[in-house]
Order: sequence, then C-alpha cells, then structure tokens
Amino acid sequence: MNAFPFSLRRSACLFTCLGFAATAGRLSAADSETDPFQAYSSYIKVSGQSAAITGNDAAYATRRQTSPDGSAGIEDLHLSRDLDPNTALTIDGRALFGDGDYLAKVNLTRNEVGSVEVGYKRFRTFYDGIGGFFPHNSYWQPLAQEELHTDRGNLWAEVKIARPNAPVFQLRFSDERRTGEKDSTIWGDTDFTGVPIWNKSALNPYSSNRKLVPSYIELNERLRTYLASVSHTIGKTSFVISIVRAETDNTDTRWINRYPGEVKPYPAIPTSASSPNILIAPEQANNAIYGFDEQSVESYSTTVSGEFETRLTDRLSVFGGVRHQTISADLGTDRELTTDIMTATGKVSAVGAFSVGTSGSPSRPPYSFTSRDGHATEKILSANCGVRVEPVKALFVTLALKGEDSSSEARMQADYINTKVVLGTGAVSNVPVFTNNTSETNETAWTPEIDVRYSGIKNLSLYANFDYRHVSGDETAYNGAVTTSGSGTAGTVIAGAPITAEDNTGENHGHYKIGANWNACSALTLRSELFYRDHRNSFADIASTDAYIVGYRYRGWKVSGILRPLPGLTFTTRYVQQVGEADVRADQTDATHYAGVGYYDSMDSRNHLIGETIDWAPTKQLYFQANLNVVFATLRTAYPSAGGAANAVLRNADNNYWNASFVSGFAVGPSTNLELQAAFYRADNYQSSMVVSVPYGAEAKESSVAVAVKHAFTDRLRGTLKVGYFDRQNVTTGGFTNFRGPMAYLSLEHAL
Amino acid sequence: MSACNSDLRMKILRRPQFSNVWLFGAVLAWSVLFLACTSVTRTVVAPTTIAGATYVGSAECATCHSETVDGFKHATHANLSIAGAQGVDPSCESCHGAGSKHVQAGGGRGVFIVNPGKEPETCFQCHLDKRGEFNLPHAHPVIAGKVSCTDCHNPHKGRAIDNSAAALGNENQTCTKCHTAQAGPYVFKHNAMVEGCTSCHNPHGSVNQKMLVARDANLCLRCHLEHPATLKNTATGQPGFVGDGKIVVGGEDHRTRLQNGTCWVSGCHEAVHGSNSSKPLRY
Repeated sequence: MNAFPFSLRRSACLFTCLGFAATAGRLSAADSETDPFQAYSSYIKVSGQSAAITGNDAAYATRRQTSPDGSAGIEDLHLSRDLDPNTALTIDGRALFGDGDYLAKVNLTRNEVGSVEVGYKRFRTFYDGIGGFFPHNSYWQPLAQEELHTDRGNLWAEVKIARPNAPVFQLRFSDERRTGEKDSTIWGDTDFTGVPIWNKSALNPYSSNRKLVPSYIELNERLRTYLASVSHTIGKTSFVISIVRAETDNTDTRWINRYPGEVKPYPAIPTSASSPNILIAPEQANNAIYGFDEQSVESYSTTVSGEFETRLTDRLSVFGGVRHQTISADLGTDRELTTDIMTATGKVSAVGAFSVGTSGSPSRPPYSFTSRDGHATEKILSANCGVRVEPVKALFVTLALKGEDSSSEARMQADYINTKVVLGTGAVSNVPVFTNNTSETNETAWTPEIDVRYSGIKNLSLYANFDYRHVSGDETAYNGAVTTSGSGTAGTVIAGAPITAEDNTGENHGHYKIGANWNACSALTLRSELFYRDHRNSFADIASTDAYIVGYRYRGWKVSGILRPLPGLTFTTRYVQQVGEADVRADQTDATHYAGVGYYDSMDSRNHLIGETIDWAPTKQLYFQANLNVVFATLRTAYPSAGGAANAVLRNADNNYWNASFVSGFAVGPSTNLELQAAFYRADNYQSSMVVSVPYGAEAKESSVAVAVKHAFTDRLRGTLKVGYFDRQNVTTGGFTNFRGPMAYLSLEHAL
Repeated sequence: MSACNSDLRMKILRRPQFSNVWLFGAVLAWSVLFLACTSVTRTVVAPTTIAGATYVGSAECATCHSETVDGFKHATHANLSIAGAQGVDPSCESCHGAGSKHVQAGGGRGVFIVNPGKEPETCFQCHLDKRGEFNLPHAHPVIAGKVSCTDCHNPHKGRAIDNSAAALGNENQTCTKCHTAQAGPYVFKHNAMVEGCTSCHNPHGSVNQKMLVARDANLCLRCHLEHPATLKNTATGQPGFVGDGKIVVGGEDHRTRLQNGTCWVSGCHEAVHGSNSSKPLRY
C-alpha cells in the first residue's frame, strides 16, 4: 500500500517547479542589501541552554563542556562608549550561571595618556570519573556519576602609561586560581575482575588483578604575578625592560584507592605445593590500601629581562636580549596510605602498615611519609643576539644565537611512616625510617638559528629554518630508599641502599624545515613543507662506562592545496605525514640474554592525516561547508618483535580516527537565517580480546545534528533558537559513558 | 539489541510510504529554499567571512595597527607571504577578513572584523587538522570557547611556538603558565619534561585521556624500551630479532607488570612529571 497518493507527489513536484521558476525570475533582480546580523558595536546577549540527557550526565558535561543541568545568563556583554573625544570606556561581561563562566572587565583608555584595566574571569572545565582499563570479561569499577570540574579564575589589574614620544610604562598584577576536582589516570587495582584466582601461582596463567579503580585529584593552585615594564624607542633603537615576580602556592591531593573491599584472611590461605587447589574469592586476594598523596609547592621566581632591536638601515637591524631568572621553592609531601590487615585478633588499619608472621619476610609497606626541609632553587641566565638583514630585495634572513646557563639544587627529607603488624597477635608498633633526597644539575646550552624567507619570485614564497640546540652539563642525585629486612616476627623495615647518580649529561636537538607557498593561478594555491627533527639525550656515568642515551628522529611533510574552481566554491586540502623512530642505548644487566651495552630500537611511528574542507556558496543566500579529517596513526614499540609471552601483553598504540562536520546557512527571509549543523566522530582501534593484559586502542562513535534559526526582530534586537540531538557510544569505557538526547539553546542579543 | 533496532529502523525506512516522506521532505526543503531566494537578496556567509567587504591591504591596517603589522614581518605566518597577491596570502585580512567595512566604520573592536581569538574557525581555514583534533573527545576546550588558539600561539610576532634562538622564552612555558604544578621544581625531574610537554601530550587533542599520545605502555616504552631487536641473538649469534618474550626496561623484564595496566598506574610510577622522593618516579 502506498500511503502517499500519487496526486500529492505530483503536487510536490509542481510546487518545486514553481519554486524554481520563481527563483529564476528573482535571482537576477537582486538589489542592494543590508545585513541584519552585522556586529553591534555595543551589545548584551543573554542566553540559556538545556539538555535532556539519557545516559552518563558527567560524560555529557565533559564532552560538551557545559552543565547537563543547563545554564543561563549573560553570554556576552560589550559596551563601548566615548566619554570624550579622547577617552574611551569599554566594559565586557559574562555571567553564565550553571556553567560557572564569568567575566567582568573594565577598560578606560585615554589617547596619548594610557589606560587602566581591571577584570575578573572565571571558567569551568568539566571532567567525568573515567579511569582504568577493561579486563577481558568486560568488568568495570563503578564510575563517579557526579560531574567533576575545576574552576580557573583570574583577577587582574593593569595600568599603562603611554605618552607621546615618551617611555611606555606598564604595571600589571594578576591572581590566578585553579580549584576543583578532576579524574586521574593513576588508577588503583582490584581483583574483582572475574579472572579466577587460585592459591597456587602455577595455576594462575596470568595476573588476576587490573588497575581499573578510578582515581581523583583535588586541585588547589594559585599563581600571583607582578609585572613592571618599560618600553621606548630612542633613535633607531627600541627596547623593553621588564621585571616579573611570580608566586605559586599549589597543594594538589590525589586520592589513592587500591584493592577496595579486599582483605586477606587470617590464618592465610595455604599456598604450598602440597595444599589442595583452592579458588580464592576476590575479596580475600589482597589487602585494601587507601589514602592520599598531597604535593605542595610554594615557589617564588623573579625574572629580569631586557631586549632591544636597532634598525641600522631599512634592510639591516640587530637585536638581542638578556634574561635572568631565579626560582626558590619550598616543597612538601604528605603521603599517607592506610593498609587493612586481618590478624588473629581482628582487622588492623594503620598508615604504612606491613605484616610479619611467624616466618618468612615481612610484607612491603605502601610508602607513606611526610616531608621536612623540602627546598629547591634554580637559576637561569639566558642571552641572545642576532641580525635581521635583507641582502637583496625580498630576501629576509635572520641569524640568531642564544645561550643559556642554568643550575639547580633541590632536597627533601622524608620521614617514612611504617606500622608493623604482627599477624599472630594483632600487635602494632611504629617503625620510622628517615631518608635523604638531593639533586643538583648544571647545564649550558647554545642554540644557533638561521631563518630565511624569499618572496622575490612572482606568486612564490620560499622559506627555510634551521636551529640546533646543544646542551652539556652534569647532574648528581641521591635517593634514599626503604626496604624490608629480617624474617618472622623480627622482620622490619629499614633504610635501604640509596639510588645514586653522577652523570655527564648532553642534549643535541636539531630542527630543520623548508617550505614553499605558490599561487599557481588565481584559482589554485599550493603550500608544502618538509621537516626533520633529530634529538639525542645522553646520561653518562662519570665513574664508569654506564650510559643511558635516547634518541629520536621525526621526518615528514605537509602539503596544502586551495582550489577555487568556481566563484563561491573552494576546496582546501591538507595532508600531513610524519614518520618517527627512536632508539635507546643502555646498560643491559640481563647478561644471560643480551650481554653488554647495546642499541635498541624502541619506537617506530607512522602518522598520516588527510583533511578536506569544501566551502560552497551556490547563491548569495546559501552556503555549505563540509569538513573531513581522516587520521591513520600507529606507534610501535616492543610488539610484535618481543615475541613469545610478551606479545600476549602488548599491542601497538593505534590512534586512527575520522571526524567530519557539516554546516549550512541559508537566508529564509529578509531578517531570518536558518543554519544546519552536523558532526560525526569515529575511532575504531579497540582490541578487547587481550585475555592476558589490558585492552588497547579506542573505539567510539559520536554524532550530533542541530538546527538553528536566527532572526533579527529589529535593527537592535536579534535572537537565535537552536535545537539539536547528540548520540555518543564509547566502547572503550564499556558503554558506561554513553549518552544521548536533545538539547536546546536560546539567545537574545540587544544593541546598547 | 541495538542491531535488532537498527534492522527494524531500516525496514521501516525502506517502506514505500517512508520513501515518499523522504521525497516530500526533500521537495519541501528545496521549495522553501528557492522560494526564499526569490524574496531575499542579501548575502549569507560562512563564519569568519565579512559580507560585502573587500580587501584593502596590510598597509591600510598599519595606519592604526603599525606595531602589529611591523612585528608580523618576522612571524612564522610571514613565511607564506607572497608579494602582490593581496587577498590570498596570509596578510592581516587572510585571518581577520576583508577590511573595507572595518576601515569605513573607523575601526573598533568586532566592527566588521574577525577576531580569531574568539573564533577558532579562522585558524581552521588553513589548519584543517587542528579542527579535527580539537573536536576529539580529549582536547583543550577551544571549540567550547573557554580557551583560544591565541592563548598559546602569537600569530603576530616571532615563532608560533616560542622556542627559537630569536626569543628568550621556551616551549614549555607555553604550557606551564597555566599548568603551574607541572613546572615543578622537583628534586628528581622526569627528563621528558625537559624534552617538552608535547613528548607525551598532544595539546590540540587526542583520542586518549589527558590528550596522551598513547594511552598505554607504548607511551613510555618509546624512550625506555631496552628491547634487543638489533642485538645479537645469543642462541644463534646472528643479529636481529630475538623474540624472547621480554619487555625490558631498566634492565628488568616488565612483561608481567604490564598485565595489570600501564606504567603510571597506582603502585608503579605515579609521579610522571617529577618526584621529590623517588628517582624512579615511583611516587
């Protein structure tokens, strides 16, 4: 049955034909135009948005960077007024409640006198509770469904005095804060993975636990900056001198949660070869460890710099500068991890707890400590000089040399908190251990650079840039260690052999690129660039032949083409290829397999990116823009060359994806525009079949569509209504971060 | 379940009456489009284009913005300048839009001028790849308008990335001016931080959490793998592939440890940016 009668279809066709005919008659009659959507010089825009999300709200907030509960308020306020012919007042504002997005800025500028500006800006970044990997049986720890966010705020004030033919003075103060909570990738472990756990290791072909317990970081960071500068031009020389004082006060706390809900039973499950096979319940596989790691830094840096440029002739100028920076920082750590241990008298929970039995070695404590006397200083002296010259017309050459001398010293003493727990009695006792940690580095770096540009050939520009950074220096380090000692109830924790280093260090970084831009004709522009990077970092022990050297090289090319075959039609194409390889030279202690020091191929990467944008305006009233990005990216390290059991653990890091977007705008009336938007994203490299290990790659599908209507009610009032729909499926997170649903956005903008 | 739904949807959409709905919708859309064309004569343009404006040249811009125009001569973007090719070379108007209306209006912020600091589409016109990256699930919120390209890059002066000999700054300062905690200082720094934040993070966007170049152990193994691919096989004495099933780092086989997760998970090497108490960056 055809529910759509032929007569109606015929009517639709007739309707279309009439439309075509009418259009043909009017297109040639286009006359002078006014744009009802031209920008106002002063305006206020109020808006609100809301979504009805099915699925994970926090994931929606993270992906769209807006609150799933909606937001409303002043999206943009801009007021510009001339108080008198020489004085302008500018006020900018924003207050989007729900999104935590605020701005208030006032600027008063007087010609040939200067300006005063004060402002406050704050915006919110949303995070979900994603953490961990998926084991092969698709188990996942519960995610934090509530949205996490951090707020960045900046309060600033600035005064600039700019009198004619006089030095320009600038004073600026800013107070930036970052507070809130976000997810961390320092995931905790669990045995609740569905992987069977036997009491004999021989029966466990692979590890039962996986690091997939979400973790969170609480941020409390502050940066206050005081800047004073003066710039001036005397004769042919312009210069700027500045002094910057920066003070940071950061305390970031990471919450650690390992083996939640687990504790080993007492007496212990027998594990000897003669014991019967016992399947261990996951809640009895390990001991829970939980707590926090708080890192604090209070640093004070002072930077004094001066730069100049002297234009000797129209074609020759010299420039240079000096900068000296000192940093002094107080460092602090408070890391307190509590371990649950089951004893003969019940469960004991203590910070830094380790257990001892009647025989055998003690268990390892979870590294809990508080710091004292943490301090670091750094001094960096940088200077550069160079010449900019145009030896022949349209050939621009810049030669520059930069030198840097830096040194640093840092120390922190750690008081390890260890609590000895005797399994048989439940007795606990403190076993404090003190360690020292110090480091010192000295480096000298030289960076010559040459930059050449030639645009003397019609419709062609050529350029090249080469720089090479060579660093030589030395470093010493002393890292006190903690280890276990003894056996049975006499077992304890003591200071272990420290990790020490006394190395000569070196770096060689070369960056090279050449490129061209060619207007082949009015309809075609081509650009291409070849690049090559060669880096090598080395650490050679002063007292022996031990060394660790890592080097990598990247090479590739970028090519872009802009084709305009017709007026109103443009194809923009970009292709980027990058190939990389890295190698490591290190001392190999596993002499059984690889004697001596050798070179190891550690990385091989391939990246191809293809981007295309098509802009088409078939008529004045209509435009289309389509964008497509396709990326093939793979990064290989040990797989598959490691072979054997290693190939069951590791896969290459494939990061292929494609995304596309489409936008079209259309004038549907003298004061009304219609806009269509669509976007797609897909990644498809997920390898969930890693039985032995964690999965690799990512797989997700996202799509969105939206329709917007913009209407100018009057010359001073316009509005926008937008409705859309999102759909996201993220296989990488086991579907726990999927969401879909409609959204709506409404705004009104009024000229002031 | 979803596959069943999908099949069902396709069956429904393939029914004749729904084909007619599509036909009618398309006809209606085209009819509205062409009827509107008959009644509207004004120009609608894609974002970052200024309707009705024409190019005036950078010299005209210099009358009010001399300092900016002067500095641009040594900017990275100046590499693409082509003499006499006004309108297609990356002079002021290539990014800010044709300037005739802005000049006629006597200037002013946002008056017939594109502000790339507010509209990243301006940059995406040439940097198509960055549009794709900023639209990935893990990216700096440029698309959301919370940060902009110009927060990290100065298109008007010097290198787009501040690491040249002609400038006193360095690349990492671009990141640490906001991410101050990662700047340290540390008693034991991770040398990758010296190499640059971009060693591990793609600041424009990634398919991986935290904009990581890789979300797995490959990220670290790039610089820490001591794999004997080019060593002699002690069994045969021949150079090349050994394939002994080990993933050696720091002289120790990490194969079984990688079964649990990645290198930086809890209990392993947590202090990825640097540590004050553990040289192996354990905590």
